[in-house]
Amino acid sequence: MKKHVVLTDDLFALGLGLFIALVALPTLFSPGIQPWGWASSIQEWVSPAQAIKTVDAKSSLSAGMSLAATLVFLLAALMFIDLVRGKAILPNMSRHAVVLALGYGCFVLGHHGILATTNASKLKSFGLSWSMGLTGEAGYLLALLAGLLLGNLLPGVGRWLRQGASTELFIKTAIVLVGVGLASKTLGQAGRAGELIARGLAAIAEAYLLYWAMVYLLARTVFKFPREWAAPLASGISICGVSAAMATGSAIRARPGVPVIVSSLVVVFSTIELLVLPWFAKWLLPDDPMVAAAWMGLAVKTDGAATAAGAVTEALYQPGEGSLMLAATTLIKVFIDLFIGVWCFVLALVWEFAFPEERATNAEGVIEKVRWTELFSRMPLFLIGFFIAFVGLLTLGLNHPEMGESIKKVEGQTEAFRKPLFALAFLAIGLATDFRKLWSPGLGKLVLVYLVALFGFILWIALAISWLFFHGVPAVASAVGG
Amino acid sequence: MQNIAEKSYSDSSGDLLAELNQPALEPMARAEWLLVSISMGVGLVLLGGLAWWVRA
Repeated sequence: MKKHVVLTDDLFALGLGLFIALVALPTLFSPGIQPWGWASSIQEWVSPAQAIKTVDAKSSLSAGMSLAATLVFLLAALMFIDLVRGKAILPNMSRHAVVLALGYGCFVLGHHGILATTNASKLKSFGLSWSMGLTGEAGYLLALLAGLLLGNLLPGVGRWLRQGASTELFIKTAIVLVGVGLASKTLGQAGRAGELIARGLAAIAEAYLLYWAMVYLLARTVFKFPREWAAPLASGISICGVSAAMATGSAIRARPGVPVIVSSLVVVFSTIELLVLPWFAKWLLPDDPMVAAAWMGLAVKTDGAATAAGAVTEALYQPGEGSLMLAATTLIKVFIDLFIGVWCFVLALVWEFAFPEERATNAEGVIEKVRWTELFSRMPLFLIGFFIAFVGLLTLGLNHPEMGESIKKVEGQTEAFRKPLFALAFLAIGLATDFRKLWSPGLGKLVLVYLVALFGFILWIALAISWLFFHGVPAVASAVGG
Repeated sequence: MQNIAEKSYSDSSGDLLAELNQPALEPMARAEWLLVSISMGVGLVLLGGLAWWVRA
């Protein structure tokens, strides 16, 4: 198998995510030991000295050293990935370092009391009379804004940084770690597992079977797009953005430029959705936080933007300790993502047998056959990591209820990486979003299909189905009861 | 009709986007109608069943 097929961001995200989770596991058997206890945990602050603590309160490391050690660990991980990929290590090191510093900087700033504090007694202790109450996840928005500003106002700097900022790696590693958090939150409510699976299946039915067919029909019959464009566009708009468009392009053997252009559009629109939809949801559904959270998972495309929208929505609703909102968004997105490979397999079969003449030729002018092994390799590996972490810890917790506290401590350690990794993903999304793409000639028709599909039916069907499946579901785990 | 195989190696963004301003010459094939119909049919049945199960 070719090297570029194997060494994907998916694979590294799986490796890095599982490494962080596995290193934390000794805590399960000896709760006093926290291998990531030295890592930095970002806190709400008004005085800089309050901003950083170690994960393990008993750690002797100072706040500054803890942050430095955490950044060095992540930098070393990124450099190791460069080394394995055969990339130049030293030139990329400075890019990675700046990206990490910017991402962490935004995340720390987002924890300032004025932006983040939701608790009245904490406001009082900070000496503040008010706060925007966005929680520490305001750091995600600051990272996104920083990325957008750098990428669009200082394109040279943005291009330089982009080479050291991998959205896919950051977001997919974080999603593997979401599996740990989700297991911890789900423990104690095992009776709800069946319902969660039903809701996940509803998401798949909606994304693949309804959205895809409707967008494809719209593109082919109303806008008269060729099949080669309509299929990746339908996948990009209806499933999960970039990876779905790319995998579909590969499945039907479209020219590489087609899914790349579709993906660019998806990223821009996802960012717009991320900036608008959470506030719209809060305005439209003030008393239905779980419906809003599910809506983000169903309506916002790309893993990063959807999870980010879920996080922002959670911050807007402030459901409190033990919130299941982000977990619901992530679970729906994960269920949708999990079946990209299966759906592409179906499309490949249809194209193979119905349109054998519509496959690209190779350099010798011979029509290329669909390679099934390539389709299998496009199954998102990070989702396997998510499920290993989620199912593994959930099974352990269900069979050994006495380990509940230890599992929370494992989650506490992985959270020290998950949240900053999300902030880094936001930064990377901002850096990669070129708003000028919307004004490029020829994109008008694509944009029009996107707008008609998104505002014509995707948002509203997603809202209806979210309401149908999540209306009345409590947003806080403790409110559900054991 | 120019098929995809013939234009495989002229896929700069500009060329590709220019195609979209010209309507596709082919109407939906039977296989496409089948794919779309089966998808929507199965999707609606599955959604209905799951909604009934969750709400029951």
